[in-house]
Amino acid sequence: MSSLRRKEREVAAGDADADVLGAMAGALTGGEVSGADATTASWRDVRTRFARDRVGVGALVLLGAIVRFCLAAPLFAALTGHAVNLQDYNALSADGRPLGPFSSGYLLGTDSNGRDLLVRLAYGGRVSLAIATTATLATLFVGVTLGMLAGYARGWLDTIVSRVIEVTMAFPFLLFAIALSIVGQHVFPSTFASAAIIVVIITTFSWFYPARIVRAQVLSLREREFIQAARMLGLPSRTIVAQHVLPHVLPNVLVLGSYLVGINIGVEAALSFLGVGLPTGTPSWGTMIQSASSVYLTSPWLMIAPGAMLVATTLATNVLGSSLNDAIERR
Amino acid sequence: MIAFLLKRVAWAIGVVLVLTFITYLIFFPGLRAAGLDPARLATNKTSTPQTVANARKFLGLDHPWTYQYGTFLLRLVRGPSPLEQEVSSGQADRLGFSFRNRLGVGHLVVSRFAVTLGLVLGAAVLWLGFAVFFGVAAALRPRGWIDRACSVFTGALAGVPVYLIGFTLLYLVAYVPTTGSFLGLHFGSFTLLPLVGYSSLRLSDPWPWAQHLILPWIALALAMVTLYFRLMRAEMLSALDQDYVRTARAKGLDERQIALRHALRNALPPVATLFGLDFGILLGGVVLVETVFGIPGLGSLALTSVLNLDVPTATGVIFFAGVLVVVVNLAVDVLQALLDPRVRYA
Amino acid sequence: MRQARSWLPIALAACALPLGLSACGGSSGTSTSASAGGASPGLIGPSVNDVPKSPTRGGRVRWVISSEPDSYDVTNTYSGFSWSMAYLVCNGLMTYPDKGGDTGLQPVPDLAAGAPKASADTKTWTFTLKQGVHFSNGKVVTPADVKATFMRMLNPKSSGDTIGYFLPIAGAPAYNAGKATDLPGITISGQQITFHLTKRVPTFPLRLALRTACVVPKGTPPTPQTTNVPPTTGPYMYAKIVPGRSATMDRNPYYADEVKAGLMPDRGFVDGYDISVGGSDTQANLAIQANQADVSANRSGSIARLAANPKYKSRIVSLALPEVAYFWLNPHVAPFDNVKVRQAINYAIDREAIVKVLGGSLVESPWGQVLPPSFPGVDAADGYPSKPDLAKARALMKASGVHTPVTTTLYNVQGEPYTSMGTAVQQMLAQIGIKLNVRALPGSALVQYVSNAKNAAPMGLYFWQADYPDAEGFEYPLLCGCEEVGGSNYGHYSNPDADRIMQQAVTTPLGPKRNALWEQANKVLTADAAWVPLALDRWIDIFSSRYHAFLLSNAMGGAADYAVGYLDK
Repeated sequence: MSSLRRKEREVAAGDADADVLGAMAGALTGGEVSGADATTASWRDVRTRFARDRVGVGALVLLGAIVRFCLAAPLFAALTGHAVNLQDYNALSADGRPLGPFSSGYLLGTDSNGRDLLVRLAYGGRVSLAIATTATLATLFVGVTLGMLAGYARGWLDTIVSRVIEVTMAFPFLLFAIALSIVGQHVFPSTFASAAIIVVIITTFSWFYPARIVRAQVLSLREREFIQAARMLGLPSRTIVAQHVLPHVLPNVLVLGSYLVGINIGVEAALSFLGVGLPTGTPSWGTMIQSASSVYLTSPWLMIAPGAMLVATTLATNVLGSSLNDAIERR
Repeated sequence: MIAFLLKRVAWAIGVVLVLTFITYLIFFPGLRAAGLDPARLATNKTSTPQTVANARKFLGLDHPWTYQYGTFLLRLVRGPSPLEQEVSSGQADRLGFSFRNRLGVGHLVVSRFAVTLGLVLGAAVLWLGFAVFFGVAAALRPRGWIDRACSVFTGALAGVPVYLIGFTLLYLVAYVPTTGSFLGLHFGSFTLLPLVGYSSLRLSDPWPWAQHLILPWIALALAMVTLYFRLMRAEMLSALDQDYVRTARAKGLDERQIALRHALRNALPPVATLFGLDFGILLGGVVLVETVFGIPGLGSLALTSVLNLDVPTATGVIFFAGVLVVVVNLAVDVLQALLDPRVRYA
Repeated sequence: MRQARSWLPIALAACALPLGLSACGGSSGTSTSASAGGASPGLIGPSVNDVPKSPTRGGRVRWVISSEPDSYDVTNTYSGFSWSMAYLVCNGLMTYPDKGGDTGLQPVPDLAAGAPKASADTKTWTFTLKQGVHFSNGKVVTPADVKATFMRMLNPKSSGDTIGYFLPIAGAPAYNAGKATDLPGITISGQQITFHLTKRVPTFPLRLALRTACVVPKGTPPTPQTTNVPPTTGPYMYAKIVPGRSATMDRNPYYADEVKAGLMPDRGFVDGYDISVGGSDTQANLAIQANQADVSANRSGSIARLAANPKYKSRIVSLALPEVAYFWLNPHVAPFDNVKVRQAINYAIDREAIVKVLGGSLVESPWGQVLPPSFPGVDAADGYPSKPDLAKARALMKASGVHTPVTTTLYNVQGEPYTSMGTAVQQMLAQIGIKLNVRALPGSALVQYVSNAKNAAPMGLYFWQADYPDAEGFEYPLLCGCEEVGGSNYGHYSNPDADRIMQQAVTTPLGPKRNALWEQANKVLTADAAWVPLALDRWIDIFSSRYHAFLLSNAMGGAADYAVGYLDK
């Protein structure tokens, strides 16, 4: 449904006067698409301007902290002596109630299976971040490649890409994701396959955002003097695209990528929450929320902990994306 | 205009054909690849070889999947076959019948759609109302306290998934009053809202229906409001910056009148367009909200039918949701074309 | 052999049923000498024996359920939950009385005027139908309706799940395959109905007490009905059904007169049931806590958490079901071809920990043998211990001669609580040198995979409950190596000693001799470590403070007897 598409939209109109986002909103509402051209600003300027944006730097620091927390997962496991899947039955009461936060040996308490919540939170973050990052890279790779091809080659290639984009956008995303995921799990029943299926689903239903933006930008770049000059010099198309077009496109791709990581974490969590994403035993913030949903009334911390990580990460990537955009736009 | 319309309709039909074809591809060769036999799934629970054979015969599963897809398209045009009518006790309709409870899929989908429509419309009133009212207020005094408060509020919501909003509401509004204790404080338990279930809308007494939907409405509206608030504010700001507004201001017209009469009129269409598109997708099933609150809408029908591998229902819901998206997109296109002739030739 | 656990997505495979063997048996006249159940272990809450002599009458029960029963059409029901509801609306020739303990497990005549007459070889069963019982549409029940009921169930266009129990009726297989238009195995004469079976079936009266054998009128379409369910004869009838949303049960207008006339038992004290579908189990239980609803019957483990609060404790009921959670082991695959390894696992498993993972002592009870305690003669002390005996387990591993560490695979169902159980057993077996890989499949795929002996799956998780209180629906389909048994023996286990005893038991008339044979087989199977039995599933429920419901001895399916529940004024 919607909540996922909504998030993309939300990003789209997140700041309606920013060009990338304007372009995304345009891509969604079917209006005119215009890409920003940021290469005139050097990367050093961008960095200086970004450093002055306190909110943006704050978001980056928060994101860095979250990533470090997740990377340190084996450290937490070693320090506590609790492996990620270790179920400590002594931590559970006779009627199966878990330990609350700040219990001895368990800083955040345990889940209903006697597993250390802190350790799982860190390991779960690794899984969530890994899936979201992979999906983002795949989306950007497919989207930027097709967008540049369509925009540069024009003609029948452009027509095909544009038609496919239109059809894909008409798909009820979440319903298809559910169907693909369930049938996929029957065909390939393994944790890794489930993760791969999620990446494929996300890529299939979001490559057209970068594709549309890049296509529009390349269409306009194509008419610029320096590209025309390169063409007249007889440089091969491949060289022109790689050396002259791509650098102009990258800044927008970077901003979009930042947003997409946040969105994709949400998509994985939503699918896992519905029980069609990762298998339940695999820790991820989504599966942790899912398994907490039947006991959260009596043990709210089981939902608060992964929920807070999810929200913090999404907010941080949103803010980071918007600050990056501001820095690139020289405003 | 008629040529444009025909082109768009033909395109929409093409999109739906592609969509249904891929759905069939997923459910028939896909399940086969998983080693699952739809006839055995339809008999489900305990089954003797004879019951599976009976199911295969009477559910029309003794043909290749391409034949099934052909039957699906043909049924859309001609209605169910006499055998389908008989096996489903006359329940089968143009979308076939569920293998699970032998109800007509079209009937199921439409009755669930009504539920989702109530959910989405109610929430839309809330989020559009908030976005328009506060978007205008914020744009009238940029960086004023209303603007800041709303920006922080909607900005914070932007990262919160709708199901977490839903669980929080359920906890605070439903669980805490029921148990009568919160954070170690005890007070008498009371009941604010019904905690479970759904009531059909009765025009003579809409209260039970509304009572069950209040929390879902709020949750969905909170999840949607950020985008609309920001868009409304931005559109309003740019509208207030237009020449004619400045002229009106120079003429000494009341600021509020300017805002409402001139700027708002220009700021609303983009919001309406976005709403049109969202509306189509949301109607296709607000799966997450329906799951959290247990609302028997289109989304939960889709989820349960896919989880149960009830193939006719799953394909029927996806078809219906796809048609909704396509039809709403078509309507938006046509409206835009009517308002702006350039679109027709684009 | 139904799976009643609401969160279990497994579809049970073939309805394995005891196909009578040759050998002639003793006498046996009446049916009511069925197995007597033991005491209900750990009953928490009032038993059905505590129903007051003159309970309050009237009021409507608000019933909230998270997902719809598999069917409202009694012929097509197959879950503990839908059978609980079916008890309110329908009657078959036989039923179980509203009694607790052993008495509740003895089938009694329902629409039959008295105990059936069986031929000496238990192949012919004759029933006399009560005169003057009405369907809720006003028509009187005739023997033709009874025959039509079975023809409907066995019709190829129907999709009933208990068909297998009735295939011994002469001509039933041909009729079910669509090769015949009549069912010659059921004959009618006056008020008498006679079933002619092709095999010896001493448990036939128990099978007739299944809710799927409830009598529906002649002329009901054979296909499953969803909204327009056939009228039945119970104290209530479905007044309105909105699929996926709600159902309403009102009083059957003819029932009260039949009670007065002494035709039918006095049951059904409330005026009706308003069933609403939707929400999660957690929400439903919350609504009951808040007294916004009266009953849900969802067996959700989250109810157990409420027991800590004295406010709710008295409203919670819990009772062990004749349903065992177990790992099957495949003795054709190393290392499980070694009996000592199988026994070692049974000693290494911490059943109390498993119970905690599954939701605690109100949701499960540790259990260490094949047959559940409700079967007569089963002694709780005989099984494997609840607490692990690692020293013994290690000694057995050593004695087995298997080199440790040894690696094997557990075939598990995707989703909770299976995943947690898989991890738990992985941890436990690592202590005795068995490294367990877990392969999780969706329920339907798992059953299809492990049923195939060629796949040689070494070990897997399953749950089982008998459909009627006789072990022929338990040990026999699950552990007999007999050829004619269907595909629920996922370990493809066979043991000539046990097989011989079980094949003898199946044809032995109901009674102590038969029960002793089943218990003997249970001992052989448990000693041979055919399974790793883990726990008994329990029925757990919470009621509103105004609703009083009572626990049965769970002859089948649901443990709560809603027909004798009543509401405070």
